[in-house]
Amino acid sequence: MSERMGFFTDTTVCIGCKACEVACKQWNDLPSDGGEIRVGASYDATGELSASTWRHVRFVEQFETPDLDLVHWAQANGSGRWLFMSDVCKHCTHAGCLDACPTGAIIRTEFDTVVVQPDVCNGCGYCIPSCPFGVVGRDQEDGRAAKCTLCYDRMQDGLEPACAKSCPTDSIQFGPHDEMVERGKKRVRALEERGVDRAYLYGAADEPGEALAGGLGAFFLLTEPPETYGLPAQADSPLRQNVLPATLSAMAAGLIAAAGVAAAFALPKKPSRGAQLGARLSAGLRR
Amino acid sequence: MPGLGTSFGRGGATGFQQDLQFADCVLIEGSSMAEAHPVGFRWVMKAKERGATIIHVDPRYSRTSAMADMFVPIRAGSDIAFLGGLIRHVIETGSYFEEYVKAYTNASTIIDRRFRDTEDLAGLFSGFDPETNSYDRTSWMYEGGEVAAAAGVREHATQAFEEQTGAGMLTGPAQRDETLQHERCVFQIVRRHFSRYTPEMVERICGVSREDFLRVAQALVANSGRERTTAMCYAVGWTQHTVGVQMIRAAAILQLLLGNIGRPGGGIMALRGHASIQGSTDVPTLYDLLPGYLHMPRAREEEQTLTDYVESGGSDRGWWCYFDKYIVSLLKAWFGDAATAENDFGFGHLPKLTGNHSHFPTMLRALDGQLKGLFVMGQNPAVGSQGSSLQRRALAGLEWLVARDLAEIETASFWRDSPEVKSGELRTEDIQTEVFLMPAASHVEKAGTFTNTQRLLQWRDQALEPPGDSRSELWFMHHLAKRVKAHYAGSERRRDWPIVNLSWDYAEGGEHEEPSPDDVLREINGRNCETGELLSLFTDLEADGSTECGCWIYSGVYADGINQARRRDPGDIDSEGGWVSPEWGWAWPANRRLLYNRASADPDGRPWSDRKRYIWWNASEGKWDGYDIPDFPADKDPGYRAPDDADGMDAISGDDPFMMMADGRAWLYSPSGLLDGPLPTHYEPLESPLPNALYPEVHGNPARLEWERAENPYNPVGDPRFPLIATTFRLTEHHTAGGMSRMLPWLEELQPEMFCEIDPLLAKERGVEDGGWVTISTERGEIEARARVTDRIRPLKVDGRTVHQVGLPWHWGFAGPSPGDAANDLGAIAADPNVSIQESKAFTCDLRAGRRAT
Amino acid sequence: MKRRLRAAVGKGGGPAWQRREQGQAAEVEAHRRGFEDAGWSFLYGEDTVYGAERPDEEKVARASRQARSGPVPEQVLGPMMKPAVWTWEVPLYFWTGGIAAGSGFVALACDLAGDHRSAATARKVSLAALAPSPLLLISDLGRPERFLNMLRVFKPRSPMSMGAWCLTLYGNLIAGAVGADLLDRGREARALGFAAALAGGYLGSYTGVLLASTAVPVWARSRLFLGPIFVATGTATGAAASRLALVATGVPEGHPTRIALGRVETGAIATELVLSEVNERRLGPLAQALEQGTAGRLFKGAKWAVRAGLALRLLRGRLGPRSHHVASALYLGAGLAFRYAWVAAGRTSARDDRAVAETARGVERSAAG
Ligand SMILES: Nc1nc2c(c(=O)[nH]1)N[C@H]1C(S)=C(S)[C@@H](COP(=O)(O)OP(=O)(O)OC[C@H]3O[C@@H](n4cnc5c(=O)[nH]c(N)nc54)[C@H](O)[C@@H]3O)O[C@H]1N2
Ligand SMILES: Nc1nc2c(c(=O)[nH]1)N[C@H]1C(S)=C(S)[C@@H](COP(=O)(O)OP(=O)(O)OC[C@H]3O[C@@H](n4cnc5c(=O)[nH]c(N)nc54)[C@H](O)[C@@H]3O)O[C@H]1N2
Ligand code: SF4
Ligand code: SF4
Ligand code: SF4
Ligand code: SF4
Ligand code: SF4
Ligand SMILES: [Mo]
Repeated sequence: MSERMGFFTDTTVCIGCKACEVACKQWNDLPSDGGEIRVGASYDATGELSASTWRHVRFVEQFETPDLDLVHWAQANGSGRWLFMSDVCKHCTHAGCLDACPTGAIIRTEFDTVVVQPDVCNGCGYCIPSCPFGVVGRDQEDGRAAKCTLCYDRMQDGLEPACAKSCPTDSIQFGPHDEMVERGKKRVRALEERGVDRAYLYGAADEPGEALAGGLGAFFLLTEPPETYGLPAQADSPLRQNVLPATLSAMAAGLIAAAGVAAAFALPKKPSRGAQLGARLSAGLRR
Repeated sequence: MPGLGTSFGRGGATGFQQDLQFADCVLIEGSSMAEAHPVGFRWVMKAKERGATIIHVDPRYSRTSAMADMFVPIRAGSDIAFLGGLIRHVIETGSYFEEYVKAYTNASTIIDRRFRDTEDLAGLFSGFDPETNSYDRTSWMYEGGEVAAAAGVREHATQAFEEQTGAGMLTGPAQRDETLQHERCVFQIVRRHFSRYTPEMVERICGVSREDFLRVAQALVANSGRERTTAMCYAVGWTQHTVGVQMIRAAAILQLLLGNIGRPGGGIMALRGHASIQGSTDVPTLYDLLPGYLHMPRAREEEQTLTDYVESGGSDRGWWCYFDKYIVSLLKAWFGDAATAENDFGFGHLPKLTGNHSHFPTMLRALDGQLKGLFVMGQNPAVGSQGSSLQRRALAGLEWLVARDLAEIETASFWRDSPEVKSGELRTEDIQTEVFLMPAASHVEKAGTFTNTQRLLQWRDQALEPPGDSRSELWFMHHLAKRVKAHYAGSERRRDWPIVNLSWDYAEGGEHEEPSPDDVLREINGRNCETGELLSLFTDLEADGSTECGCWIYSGVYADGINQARRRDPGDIDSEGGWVSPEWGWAWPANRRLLYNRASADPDGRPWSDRKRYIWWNASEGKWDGYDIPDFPADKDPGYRAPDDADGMDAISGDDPFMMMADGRAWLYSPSGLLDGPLPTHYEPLESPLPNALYPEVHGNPARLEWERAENPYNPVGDPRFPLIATTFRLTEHHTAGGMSRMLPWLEELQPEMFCEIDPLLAKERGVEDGGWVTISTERGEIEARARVTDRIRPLKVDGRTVHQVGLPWHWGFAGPSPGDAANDLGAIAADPNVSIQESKAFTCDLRAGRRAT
Repeated sequence: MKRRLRAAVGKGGGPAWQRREQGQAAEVEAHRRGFEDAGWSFLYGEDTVYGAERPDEEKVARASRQARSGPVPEQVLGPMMKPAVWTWEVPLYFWTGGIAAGSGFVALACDLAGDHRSAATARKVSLAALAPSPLLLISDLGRPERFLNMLRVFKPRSPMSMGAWCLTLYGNLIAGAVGADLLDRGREARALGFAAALAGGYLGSYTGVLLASTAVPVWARSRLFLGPIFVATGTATGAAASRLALVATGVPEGHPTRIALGRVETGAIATELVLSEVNERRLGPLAQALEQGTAGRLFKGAKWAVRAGLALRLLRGRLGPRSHHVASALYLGAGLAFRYAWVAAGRTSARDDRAVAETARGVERSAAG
């Protein structure tokens, strides 16, 4: 397996141009979702990542509404920000979608990326609630699940993914994962020196115990808490977390049930106490 | 763009976008660069990463503001006041770059004693004629002579056309006072002119708080001088005003005072629009220019013969002294062997201008049924042009209309589905216009060059064959020309001479007889008529008819028989000066990337500072060295002093960096070339809710162009029915009138509906919810849009009043998958006198909740 | 870095036709392999402050830790995650599968108790309940024709995969058993029934595990209860179904098996009621997903059905045996409602962005502790 490739998406240089979103649709020939103005969603008309939208730029407006006596923007401006964040499949080390997939349609490639094989997927939909980031979706018409492939086809040709290629400001940087992480760490430091104290890497360079889904192949540099961009603060493959305990308790329950049934048969064969009680009641009523 | 032309000598952007990365401060005003020029904006981002301060001054907090260190909200249309304030600040605090100003600008030049400033005449300059609303500019001249501006209206492009211009020769050396003390020297005139523009006045007019103003002023001053440079970027947020050209002039004056022109990381980046809009002014689609900024001859006594024309157009000092070579070579390119010295090279057969034939007057003529037919190629006036509903009615008045486009745009389908038809105002069966919609090949389906915003010609290879009947522009023009020529073949009539003798021999081939764009480029580059060998530069041009050249400024694009525009070698961009990449494409003139770069060195030819070195005088070899090609005679010694009787380029001294100018200096004060004043003055937009706080007697630009008539009514100033200021803007997701984006599902879904941006207070006042419908109205009509209630656009305190601004994207029209009302249905047709650009960035309107009636 | 470009069609600098006439190749050379283009960044370089310095590792990790711990911030931008796309078939299958497994237990118990006739009936019930299950699952697939891919891999970590295998196995065993019954092959039938019951242990519970193993807060947070709850429902509905079947096949009143089944269904459904209540309590605010909207209504309905059923059982003496049949029917209905409720609750919960955010932050606490 060749080295792990990944994305470092630096939101501090994103200009919200959506070129990545379009480049992705074009390269992968994905359908348009049509759409209409979404209330309170700023310039975001796409809404969310889905089977037909594999890159999605989020817009976050952070302003305090001016009070009626009209403070000049000058004062308010300091607190005003418009954040852009180009979201994508995280290509998790612990990929919930991959763990969930019963058909083996979702695989890990030689680039350590997570890809859905369209020719295998039967659209069972289990990967969808199993992705803690709400990335993968199932297309109504097509019936199969689909998500970012990290341009597997381009990568096999040694080509940069379409979205990264089209990004005018290099907000999306692509390369060997560890190089990207290095770059990300340096960036955090650089921003800190420039007074952007809240900058941090989302999904990389964490202490082992704290890694998101075992570490993200596509990680981000953020300046606000994750939820501000619609990302969970903590995440792991839900299957890794839950399958074992859930199965054990279920099995235990199964045994107890069996025992219960057996007991029910084993008990003396006369009308149940409940029935007797009922009988007495009705007798009382008669009197 | 005369704003830049009458200041520096050429209309194009002074630098190139890659150079922005070396700016220490970037002021973006009148543009949303990140949204409209996202790729070029990366160099601003890089500057920021290199520690520069980014400032955005705009009515709306846009994606550009989000990237800026400083955002300053301003009232639409008030920029001259803001820039004037900065000019005053720089002069009064003595923070201008003194050596630069003294040596390289006309600050010391003394002006004719008849000149009167707006300060003396309460808002008007001397020479104003209220009858024609135009200026007689003779009193604006230099003392002891008259100067021709290098660019701009050396001749009239407009209404005021009949009036004599001051264009002429500099008869003697300019009178100067190097101490800048003379009360009639430019510096003192400028000082007095802007003395009113105090921070308080700026606050009153622009709604910009004093604190903000000073923060900007200090940033600019701190980042200009020997060691540091500031760059400015603007686009149509400045140009589309009745004072548009003067806004740019104001920026030019400021940059000259700060010494930022001709230096790396400095300059004024005019961000042009369409992929080759720069190209379409160089080899113009403009009615009043010939290729290479030679003016279109006028139907006037003075211009009947070639000699007369050269007289009025040329200048015997500075670069324009070769005017005759340019025009003669052009005529040779057009008429070939038929063009001889005997017949004035066919000059007499060129059409002569009779008046203003710019877009608006032409469409108004159509409205009056005085226009038979119209070719619309790569334009969508039914949506994109101001007063679009008037435009559509005008189209309905044509006999025939040829629309060549990628999609069936509104301009081609107006007769069927325009709002006028839907409302019953026009009936399809009554519209007599015969519309020919012709599918056009897109840029990837044809080869050719784009000239981008930085005068860079980049050749584009063909990637695909155009589908179906789609054909390139070249194909269409070529075959149209051939048929016309065939039609007139052998005609003896004098008036048919130009058609009969038009030399038209481009190689053809392929299944569709596609002409060779390569041949066209060769012709534009120019050849020797005898040997046919390609010229290497316009310096090879001759006035005796031995050379032909389609556009003198492009001469050199095919130097050495190599298509220079197709070069794609960035070179080692990380090396010293590597960012210039002289072997990537080809820039006019002579592949110079940074114009006036002689000014990057001090008068003695030494870089102003090591940090800002660009080109410098190499005394040992007696030539100019540097990263770029010197925009100056390569071997002219800095010490050279032009003798008084010198003419031609000899009249340019070794320390005169602006060699296109007759006096070799940049113009703080433009004695000629502009129709509405030698200096910028704040005037209110034609439509404004406020009086002119600066000069109460004069409201708008006195020389503006108006076409007021029933179909084009204006909102009265301060009309309570229209208390809001509307401004229009672009979205990254769409392109102009939408023909290329609204029709494309992948782009359309990103901004699917027409909307308007309003502030929460206004929304509350008018009972509007985010996402709800609103109707916006002016005297011209009503449009409906979804409301985007956002804090990004905020009410301003202007002159003690609360002013709400309404932001309107203008990309929508009635055709395509996501139809929406066109913002231009609201706009009035009124224009800047110098370039006839409409005022679409500031007009008044009203807004109410709910959808429109019809 | 130098770039050479060759035109897609035709010779560089010339229009397409020229080159085609000169018969030249038209291979594009616009890109460079080995990620060379990607390697270059206009932004990241020595001359920018774009991360020139080596950072202090600890600091970087801390920055992320700080941003990702503590309470959920004011602004939560949805949607945080996607709900399951499953339609009505799936909960219905959960129910039928449960009945199948439940009656599998019953059959085994009957055999052990020596009532082979009832055992055979229970097995038939189980098969009958199982029969539609695969069809329901297949019709829910986005690509039904590919249902066989479910058996393409054997994937212990995926409950859906295990479930598919288990369903297949159980189906074959129970079908075999019923077959054996029909052929009066008592011993084989019992053996197969025994094996089936074992598989049934998983069949009846994995559906709960399947939900519990997703990122949907209300499901994941109930991971220790969903299995047991589903087992309970399965047992109850299985017993109820078998009981009614016995009645229908003329097993007389007072017959020990009928009595035993009466106890089983009552006990199981009561357990399910208790477990649900306890789980709801411990879920805290998350439980809203179970209490509001469709899910809420279904849950209430189910619970009332159970209570009504229990009441009828108490009053059996008064109202006679029929009332007991009604009770069994009510349990069956309740079981169905419970299944639908759980699936519906998942949808609400996944769409509740704040809940998702809070649950995520919760993960850390449980991980730490
Ligand atoms: N994505 C995209 N890119 C484009 C285009 C497109 O349609 N879409 N069009 C191309 C073309 S043709 C052109 S000309 C360029 C234009 O490029 P820009 O000029 O950058 O585009 P606009 O958005 O029209 O105007 C820029 C800004 O001017 C502001 N503005 C309006 N009035 C005023 C004013 O009075 N003063 C100041 N200071 N600012 C004001 C607006 O709020 C807006 O943010 O873009 C080119 N690039
Ligand atoms: N309110 C308001 N109005 C404005 C502006 C504003 O800022 N505000 N901006 C103004 C400016 S700066 C401009 S440039 C104008 C632009 O206004 P227009 O030029 O009228 O509008 P475009 O949509 O740019 O028209 C270009 C058309 O050319 C087509 N096209 C593209 N490629 C080709 C080709 O190769 N061949 C042919 N034949 N057609 C092609 C496209 O499909 C499109 O329909 O709008 C002006 N109008
Ligand atoms: S983000 Fe979701 S879809 Fe992408 S790999 Fe991780 S779990 Fe799978
Ligand atoms: S929908 Fe397709 S990809 Fe997702 S889990 Fe099912 S089979 Fe795998
Ligand atoms: S990597 Fe490829 S598939 Fe993934 S988002 Fe980018 S363009 Fe789309
Ligand atoms: S292309 Fe780059 S800059 Fe544009 S939205 Fe995507 S990530 Fe941001
Ligand atoms: S559309 Fe073309 S011209 Fe405009 S920014 Fe993008 S690349 Fe540049
Ligand atoms: Mo433009």
